Amino acid sequence: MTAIYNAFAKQEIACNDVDLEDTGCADSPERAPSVNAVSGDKRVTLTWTEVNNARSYDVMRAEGGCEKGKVKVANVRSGTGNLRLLTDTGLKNGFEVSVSIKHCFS
Amino acid sequence: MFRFHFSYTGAIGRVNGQQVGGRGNTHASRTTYYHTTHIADIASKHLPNEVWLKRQLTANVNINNNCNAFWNGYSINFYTSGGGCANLGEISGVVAHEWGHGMDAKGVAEGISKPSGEGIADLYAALYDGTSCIGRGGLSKICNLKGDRCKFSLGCDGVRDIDYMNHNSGEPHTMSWARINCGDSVHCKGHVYSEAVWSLYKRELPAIGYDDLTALELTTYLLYKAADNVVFWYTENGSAPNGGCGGNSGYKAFLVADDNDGDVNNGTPRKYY
Repeated sequence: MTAIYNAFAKQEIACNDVDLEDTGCADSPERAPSVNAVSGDKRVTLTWTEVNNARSYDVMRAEGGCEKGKVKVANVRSGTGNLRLLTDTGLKNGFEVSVSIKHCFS
Repeated sequence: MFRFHFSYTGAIGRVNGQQVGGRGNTHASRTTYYHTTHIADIASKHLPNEVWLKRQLTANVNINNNCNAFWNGYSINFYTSGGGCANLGEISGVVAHEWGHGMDAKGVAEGISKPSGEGIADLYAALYDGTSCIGRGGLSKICNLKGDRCKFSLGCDGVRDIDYMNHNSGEPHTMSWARINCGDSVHCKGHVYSEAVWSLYKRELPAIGYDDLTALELTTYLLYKAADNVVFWYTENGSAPNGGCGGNSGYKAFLVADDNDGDVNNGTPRKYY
């Protein structure tokens, strides 16, 4: 909601009569995971920080840059530690891929 | 779904020098058919029950005049090239814009939205083409909004650029600005809200972690859901920043479109995903 408010307020066409709340879903995560990637032989090893209230994480891969179409390669359930880990295999050496982590909650 | 009227001007389709497809097979007719069909398909995904999208739409192309295109209440119409303008039936942004007037006029809140229906037509075109330069390639000069010229270095040779950052001022064309500068120009007034939605896509959603493709999909979803119910995008004589407090305003329609539990007062979800 804040994003919508900001966009319209800059044009002076928002409305302060409506209270700003950023989520209608209780206990949603409040930050994105921080991701680290290490390349290897036909693979990349990903680690990322847990975020509060995440149920699981979708691992997305894109070829040709982060803004290209993404494909979900794995879903990793939330755990009890601070870090999650996934090794994405079957890649071609010398070929650049982009990965991103999307947290899921219910 | 679509049928076309045509004049005998324009480039007739040929294969190995032989005319094919009859006199109606022109660049403009093919381009207009393709883009109106494509954008209607996109709209139908978001608004599957919208009756107008299921109906036949007439498009008239290669009309023997220059530098204009229009929606007349039931058909979309495009002039041929000349006078410093391209054949506007060959410009995807112009085709999507005129189709957008039909979408605006025939949606749930029937009639052209106020105080200007140009902004929403621009938005349908911009999100369809993926550019804030509306009708790129349509003109032989760089666009200019009441003296706030589009940046020459960006080369927008369409009719408008709805990204205020792409104008020399780099400042939003606000409700207050429009009151002073727009007069009766509905194209000018449309900037006030089209710039808001474009900023949502290009700046506000990326600022909270959305990549460009996701932001485009979300903004397109919200626009189709919201715009169908808008009557007044903003109140022209409102007090900043509250020009969107009217009951059927664009701002409130976006909140409703974003909501997931029927109550915007407890928040809407779009901060993190």
